[in-house]
Formats: sequence, structure tokens, C-alpha cells
Amino acid sequence: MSSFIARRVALALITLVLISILIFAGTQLLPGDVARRVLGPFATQAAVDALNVRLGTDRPIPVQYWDWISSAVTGDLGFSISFSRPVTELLGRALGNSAKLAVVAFVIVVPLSILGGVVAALRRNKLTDRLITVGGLSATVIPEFVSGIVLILVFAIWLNWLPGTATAPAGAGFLTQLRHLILPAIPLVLVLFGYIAKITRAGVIEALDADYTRTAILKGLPRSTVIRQEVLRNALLPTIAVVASQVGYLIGGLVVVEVLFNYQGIGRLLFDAAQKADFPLLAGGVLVVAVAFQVAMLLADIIYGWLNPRIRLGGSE
Amino acid sequence: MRRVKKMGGEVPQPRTKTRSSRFENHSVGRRSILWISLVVLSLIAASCTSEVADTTTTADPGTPPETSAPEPDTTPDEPDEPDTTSPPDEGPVTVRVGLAPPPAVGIDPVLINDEAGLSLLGQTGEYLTFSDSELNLIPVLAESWEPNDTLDVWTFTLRQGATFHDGTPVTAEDVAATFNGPIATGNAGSAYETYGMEAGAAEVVDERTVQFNLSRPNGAFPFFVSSDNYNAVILPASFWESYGEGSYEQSFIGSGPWINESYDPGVGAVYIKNENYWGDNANQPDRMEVTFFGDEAAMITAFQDRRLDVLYRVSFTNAQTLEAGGAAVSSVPTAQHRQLYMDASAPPFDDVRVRQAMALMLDRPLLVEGLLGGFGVIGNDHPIWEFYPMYDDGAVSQRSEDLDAARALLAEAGYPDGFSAALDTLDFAEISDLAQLVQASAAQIGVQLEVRVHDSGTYYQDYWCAFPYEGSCQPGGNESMGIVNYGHRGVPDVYLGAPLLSDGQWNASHWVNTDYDQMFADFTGAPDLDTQTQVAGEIQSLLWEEVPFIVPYFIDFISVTAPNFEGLEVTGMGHFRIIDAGFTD
Amino acid sequence: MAQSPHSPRGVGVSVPVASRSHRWAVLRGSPTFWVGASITLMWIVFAVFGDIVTPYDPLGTPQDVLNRLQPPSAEHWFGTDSLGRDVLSRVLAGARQVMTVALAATILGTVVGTALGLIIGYFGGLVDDIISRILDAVLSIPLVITGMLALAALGPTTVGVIVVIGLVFSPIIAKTVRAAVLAERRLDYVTAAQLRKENVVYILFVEILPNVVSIVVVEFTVRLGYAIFTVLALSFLGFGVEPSVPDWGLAISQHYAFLTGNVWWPVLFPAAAIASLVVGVNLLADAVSQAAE
Repeated sequence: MSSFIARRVALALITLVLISILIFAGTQLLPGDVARRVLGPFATQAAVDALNVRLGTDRPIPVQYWDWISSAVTGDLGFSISFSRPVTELLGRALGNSAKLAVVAFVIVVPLSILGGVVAALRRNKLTDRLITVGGLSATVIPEFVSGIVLILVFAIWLNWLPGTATAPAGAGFLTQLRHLILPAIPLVLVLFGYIAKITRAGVIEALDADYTRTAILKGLPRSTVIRQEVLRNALLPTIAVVASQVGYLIGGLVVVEVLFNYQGIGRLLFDAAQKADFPLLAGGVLVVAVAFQVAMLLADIIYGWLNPRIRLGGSE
Repeated sequence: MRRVKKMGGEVPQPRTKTRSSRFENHSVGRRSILWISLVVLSLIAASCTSEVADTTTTADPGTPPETSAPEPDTTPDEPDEPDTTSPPDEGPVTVRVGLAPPPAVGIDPVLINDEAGLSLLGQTGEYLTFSDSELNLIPVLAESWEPNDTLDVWTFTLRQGATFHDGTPVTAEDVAATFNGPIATGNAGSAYETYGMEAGAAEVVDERTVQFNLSRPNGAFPFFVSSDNYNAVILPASFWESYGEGSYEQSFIGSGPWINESYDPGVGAVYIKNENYWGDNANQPDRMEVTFFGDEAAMITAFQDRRLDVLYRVSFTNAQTLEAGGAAVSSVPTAQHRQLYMDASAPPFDDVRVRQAMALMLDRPLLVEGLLGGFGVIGNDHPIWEFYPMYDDGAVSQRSEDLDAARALLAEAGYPDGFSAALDTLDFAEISDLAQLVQASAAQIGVQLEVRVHDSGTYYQDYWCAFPYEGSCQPGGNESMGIVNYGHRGVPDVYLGAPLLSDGQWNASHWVNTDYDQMFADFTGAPDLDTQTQVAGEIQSLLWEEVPFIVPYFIDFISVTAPNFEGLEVTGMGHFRIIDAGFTD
Repeated sequence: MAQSPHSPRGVGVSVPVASRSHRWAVLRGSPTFWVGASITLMWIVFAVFGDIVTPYDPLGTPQDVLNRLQPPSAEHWFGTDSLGRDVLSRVLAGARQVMTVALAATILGTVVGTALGLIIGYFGGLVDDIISRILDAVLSIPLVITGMLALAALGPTTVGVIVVIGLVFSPIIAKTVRAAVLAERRLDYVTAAQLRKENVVYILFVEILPNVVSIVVVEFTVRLGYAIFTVLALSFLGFGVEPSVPDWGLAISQHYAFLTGNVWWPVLFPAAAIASLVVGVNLLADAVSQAAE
């Protein structure tokens, strides 16, 4: 197990190094000149050149990359051009906000989709199963901004039940914050529901057909007990690994949801950075996203490998 | 909300409510700029008329009151969060302001160039003079001012008793450091040299007297050191010694009525009342919370949820929605306008007939009605707003839509089948919609425009005056046409200088005309209003004929407040002041 | 965008493929296929013949602005938008915009991805290791973020959107094709071709490609669904489309500010169009991949 983990961590590190190079190359393609962007269109060329020297943006790109990545390891991602603040500080706050939204989404979607998957598996190929499967698939593919718009229209404007923005007033209590996060969480829930339910359904069906289930039923245990004890335990653990692997999707989905609901999370911050061509913020933000994704995938793989010895032996082909 | 349409050359109707102002005891600098004072007086008279109109309940069609009374029987929806609703009857009073979009860059007196940024800078910082929405120039840190006979030396006497937030007094040394510091040395967002000022021009005479030695006459100089020139905020000399990117946000120091408590980029800012303010601010709320919104829709929702009291600028569509819900809506006519500039240095726009054709294709009353809901006046392809005192009413006739004439001009210029061009602009207010209507109008005369709308920062950096930048807009930028925004100014000098002079820093049209350069010098050096009006007439005619840019309309500034909030002051360029203001119940 | 919830399915389409006639029989019996196919076909028809069926010019005239934000009526079934243009006409015309961009991006991704997959699958070893690592790296950044990054760099153009989505899809397709090629390259016909000393290009594209083409087709339909999703998400975020172009994602971002005034029609109708198209294409893709298994 430990050698599997070590191998997996090494792979993740190699991938991260490659990503950081890609990100750095990508941000170097952005039009313009860093110091010019900081100082504005009316600064003299002399002032711009001086700042470029001070920022080090006049040096060869490999040197700049090494500088960037070695400071990044120590938690220094540079200074945002558009916000005049350290990138790390901005990202820290945004990640905190996004985490709140993601937690709300996961708290809703995990029990709901597991329940859906189990019900679908138990009623395999019946109408309930088709409804959950096709409905889940449809919900998964509808873009978040489409479901989000409909939710805002119906629940915030027509019914006036829930606030249409995600940001609670300053100093608001826990319940008020939660109320503001429910509508924005639902589009994420819809997208995740179909996928997790599908995996759960497959796991439960596999477990139902497995030998140990047949044995248990032959031993005369009641069907409901068998489902609770054997099937769920064996079917749900892989689901957990799948849930962990959804973090990457979530961050992509957050961009659209946070823009739509005006929420100051990592997605909105990256969107602003891309629009304003704020390279330090954009590069730092994407790097953090990539790290979060790799960590989540690593956890998912470890959980899955721990559950499924075949993978450990066979390597991660 | 009353739609006041002001087509043609009516007398201005200042439409904001005039309240007893703390400025009334102070004299506007007199004598030497007598003609400015005359204008001020006439405007004060006009605003008194407006005040009378405000107290009458039946609107006189001739002098319509602007601030409409909130409808008393419109019961607003029950607030769903009692803990966040309107201020309590006792205890500290908090006013909550919504701002959309948020400041484009960090708050920095030198680099700031957007509306949200300058509006926040104006809470903590102050200027020598304040240019209000009725074209008045109000003394702030300067008590009085006067020029020499040739209008190229201006002497300002500072107010006694004004202090910065750290308790140190505002002195002539601070003022000189402000004007001789980084603003003047080449970084500023404002085009300094067109003001006739060079580095070192500000000179300390004594502790309360500053003298500005200009390189050429400028009769409107007090406006250049006013809030119109938002980078000219007066800061302590010690601040300028250690100035650097991001350094202003360390302290947010200034002499203004609000002291910064916290600032959170992209989120908002909190201010507390400056108890040691030099002016009378007894009625000022104790606390001001400013919340930023990425888009106006989210801000409107927050206002409807009773989470905001003041929206200092909203689009007319949303103003109408909010007014229907009981909010108080007010608007001020301003000189804010859009310029559709065309690159006169290269084909096809190097031919004046093509530029004239582009101007003829627009149906201006339609644009004012459709894009501004009537909150504006049509323009005539020069930036001298009809309410400026020196506007020459009889100089040129109003240009109006004439598609046949436009097609004929294109054919004469050698483009009988039209041509293709790119139009770059920024995402701000109605500009994206204007760009689409320009595109649709151009299609009617066979001109195919590719419209590209950019984030405002990206637009100003990469498209407006394309780089490499060496002192002025370089010909051969990557746009052939564009739309740029000009905020309100108390005098038109800024519009007439940098965007139009042959070597002007903002000359996006790359239009070169030495006759014009001379006219501009005559304009700024005019010894009296009559002379200036005469020069203005020549400028209006020349620009109308040459069309370096199209001015389709001038835009009113619309603000919304909670029905029980009174006393918000706004200027046409985006400053807002909450000093003698508060809740009525 | 949402590559990750789908990527396990997208990447791991099973290699053995049923015979063609059997697949068609499975498809014919699947209600999912018929529903998906009819919705998709409907939008294809609108995309191709949009000009004929739209009641008004989708681009409108300047004078339309006086008729802005009118609710649905007999004259304008879906109402008018913020510049007074007919929403129904713009929704119908929008089909062409999204289908063209998504289709072009998917074709680009499929062509590049298939070529890449053939090469790394056939050669294996170091080439495989290096390219696979880079592909993993690209895949570990959410597609919308890659798109924003690239479009901020390249400038917001339609071609940019096509290139970005196509290039990001290519690694996903490459991985699937690679897995299939790994199985094929040990088979006799490949060995025979190698013994005949055929050149590599011939072996890859003439010998192996026809045997993995059904996997490519399945990948193509699945990717098309995600391409539509991503194109619309990017246009909603304001990347890649001129403001006057009738585009569903853009229409929503231009008009959702008006929802607070209960102006729902310029938003809800494009939203419904998006929902029906993505559900239709994905039902179709789901049916096709099930038939392939």
C-alpha cells in the first residue's frame, strides 16, 4: 500500500510540474507588458522600464518561471495587478468562500444521489430506475447557468422564498449565510446527482449479484438486512472515492455559478482575473486549482486502491 | 420617474434638489474669474426655481421637479431579514451604499481612472475645489483663488482648520507635494500637460498660500485642481515621499469626511465618520458600508431585499423597476458622453466624407430614447455640451439621420459598396448596446462592423490608444474605430484638449489639425466669456465638419435611494457625497 | 466543462465493440435513442434552415430598440429583447451558432485526438509516457478555466473558442483511442503489415484506424455533448462571441440583469433551447455508447 501511495504521489508531483509550466507559458502569451498594466496607459516608458526591472519581468522567461515556482512553493504567488494585493491573500479568502458553497452542495447531493442510486438499482429496469437514470443524465448535462437562471426566476423572483444572490450581508449569522447558499448550490447538486447516482447504482447492482449476497440470502437473512449490511457497505465505499474525484468538476462549475450568483469565490476570482488579464492572479489561481484537483484525485485513488486490492497490484494503468 | 427630454437648446433645468449647503457661507473665488461667477449665480438662481418646484405637488411641465416623491401607499415587501433592515431609531446610524461594478484597479490616487475607484477616493480624500453637478465650483481645501492678468499664474489660499485623518494640518507644502509628485511626473491617469502645468509648477508661498505657474494661460484652471481631475486629491507630503503601488491602501489617508475602517478588494469598504472634519457634518451618518457588486442585477436584488440604502448610479431600466417598488429616483443632466472615434490616419476613415457618412447614419433621438430611456440629450459631434456657458447656440445645425446622403458620401469617397472595419469598445453601462446599434445602423449603408467588447482595463490598455505609447496615441493601432467614455467635467477643456490636439494623449482618432490646435489655445486663454463663446462656435463648426469622432448623446446620471434617505449628492462624473444626509424616520 | 464527472465514462469506453448490425438493432429498440435523435434533428434543421423559418431578421434594425423588452404577444411569440429584436428569431438562429462552433471544435478534437492516440498507442514506451503525462496535466485543469486562460491570451474570437475546446478534447479522445490501439497492435493483421514492411503511416491510418473507428464515433457523440455545454458556458461568461450575434449563452448573460424586473422571456427561452439541445444530444450519445457496448 505505501509503495502504491508513494508512486501515486510521485506521479501527481510530475503532473503538477508539467501543469505549472503550461500555466506559466499560458500567462506569458497574454497580451501586454506587466509594468505597463500596473502603471496604466499614461505612465512614461522610462517608468515602465524601471518597474519591469524591479519586478524582474525583463529577465529571460525560464528565470522568471523558476522565480515564480520557487516562491509559489513557499506560499508567495506574487502581487495581483488588478487588486493591488498579494495573490495568496486573495486566493485564501476566495477558497474559503468556495469551500462553504461546495460543502453545502455536497451535503445535499451525497445522501440524495446515493439514495437515488440505491433505489434505481433495487428497481432495476423498472420505471423508477429509468426516471432516475434518464432524469439524472439530463440534469447532469444541463449547464449550471441554465438551471441557475430558472431557480433564480422561480424561487427568488416569482415565489420570493430564497435570496437570489449568494453573498450574505456582512456579519450575517450561520443560518442567513446558509439561506443564501442554497440556491447557488442546487445547480451543482443537479450536475453531480446523475453521476454519483449512476455509480452507486452500478455498485449496488454488482454487489447484489455478488456471491456473498447470494450466500447471505441462502443463509436465510431477510432481504432488507442483507441490503443494509452487505450490499450497501460494499457498494458505497467506491462511491466515496468517486465523490472525492468530483472536486475538479466542482471548481469548473463554480466559475459559472459564482458569476451568476455574484459570489466572491475562487471561480469568480479566476473569471475576473481572466477578464482583466491579471496574469499573476490568473497563474496563481489556476495553479491552486490544479493542486486542489491533484490532491483530490490522489485521495480518491488511495481510497479506491485501499478498497480494491486489484488496482494496488496491477498499477494505475 | 419623470422623463425629462431636453432636445435642442433649452435652458438647463438643474434637477437635483438644492439643500442648505455648508458651502453657502463661503465665497466662490470672485472678481478675476467674474464670468465663471456669473454662471454660478445664474445656476444658483435656476436651482432656487427648481427648489420651489420641488415643494409643489402638481408638476409644472416647464420646471419639472426631478426627485419624485415616493409613493406613500406603495407598501414595500416585508423585509425577510429583520436584523439587516433599515437603521435603528437610536444608536449609530449606518448608511449602506451599493457599487457596481467594483473598482477596476486598486485604490491609488495616481492610477485610479474608473468611476467606482474615484468615487471611493472621494470619500477619504478631498480636492482644492469641488466641481458639482450644476457646474458650480465650490471651495473645499482652498478657500479662495485668483489669477494674474494673463491667466498663467494662479494663487490659492488654503482653508484654515482642515486636517488629515492623522491630525496633521493641511498645509501649502502638502498641496505642492501633491501636484509636484508622481501625478505630475508621468504616471497619472490624467493628461497633465494639457492643463498647462509642468512638474514643479506648484510653489509654496507661505503656509496657507500656493501659487501655480502655468506654461500657458488657462482661464478654467480652478476646475483642473477640482474633483473633475480626480487624481489631484490632496495628500500629506509624507505620503508622497513613500508612494508606491498599493501604498495608498495601507492608510487611505486624506482630509475627507469619511475615515476608512476596512477595504476588501472586490467585496466592499467600511467608513466611519470623521469627527474632526473641518466642515459642518453634524448630520452625517456614523458609518458607511459600501458593497461591491460584479453586476448591476445583483445590486438591484440587494436593494430590493432592503440591504442597501443608496445606489449612486443605476441604469434607467432598473431605476424604473425600483421606482415602481417605492424607491426615490433622481437624475442630473451631465456632460458625460460617448465618443465614436474613427482612425483618421488610415483608410477608410482618413477620408472626411466617410466620417461624415458614419455620422449621418445614426438616428440620435432613437438612441436617446431606446438606450437611455430619454435620460439624455442628443449630441452634435462636438463635446461642447449645450448647457456649458460658452456653448454657441447658433454655430452649426443639428446633424440628423440621412441614409441617402450617407450612401452618396461613401460612393463619392470611393466606397459605393461600403467596407468592413473593426469597432473596439469597453463593457460599461449602455456602451455594448450602443455598439450593436451602431453596427446595425452601419449595415444600412453597407458598412460591416466587427464589434469587440472588452473589459474596461483591457480596452484602455490594449485597444484605445494602442501601444507602444510614446507621448500620444500612435497611429496604426489595432482598431479602426471605437467607442470611448468621457465622464462629466465642469468645463469642456479636458474634452477639447487631449482627445483632439494633434499631439493629444487621448487622440484616438489620430486626427491632426493645426488650426484646431490654435483654436484650443485661444479657448483656454480666453479673457472673458464672450471671447470664449466665439472660439467655442468656431470649434463646434470645425469638429462638426471634420468629425474626428461622433458624439451621439450626453447622458443623465441616475441615482436611487431608499424612500426614507435624503441628502445624497452626486456629480455627473461619479463622485458621491453623504455629508448633510440621513434617514428621515 | 464538466469533464471530470464524465471523464471516467468518457475515457473508459470499453474496447470490444459489437457488430454493426447488432448495434443498429439495439439502437432501434431504444426509446432514449429516438427521443435524443428527434430533438437533435430538430435543432439541426433549425441550424441549417434557420434563415427561412425565422419570422424576423435575428439581427434586427436600429429602429427595433423602441420596441424593447416587450412581453410575448401574437406578433412576437417569445417577446423582444433589450434592443427590441425578436427573441423567437434569435433563439432559432442561435442553433446555427452553437452547432457550428461545437461541431467544428469536436471535429478538430477528434481528428487531433485520434491521430495522437494512434501514435502513442502504437509506439508505446517513452513516447507514450511523456505524452500521457502532458495529457494528464492538461486534463487536470477544469475546461472552463483552460478556456478562459486561453481566450484571455488569444483574444475573444470564435476561432479561438473552437481551437481551445478542440485542443482540450483531443487528449481525452487520445486516451480512449490509445487504449484501443494497445489491444489492436498485438493482433495478427498488424504483425502481418509490419512483416510486409509497410510504412508506419499506412499501418496506423489504413490498417488500424478502420478497426477503432467505432470507438472514435462513440467518443465523437459524447464529446459533442460536452462541446455544446462548454461553448455555451464560455459565451455565457462573455468569451468568444460578438455582442450582436444570436447566441443562447450570450443572450442569457445579456438579459439576466432584467430578471429583477420580471422580464423573463429573453432569458427563459434561450435557457429552454439550451436544455433541450444538450439533453437531446446526450440522450443520443448515451444510446450510442450503450449500443457500442
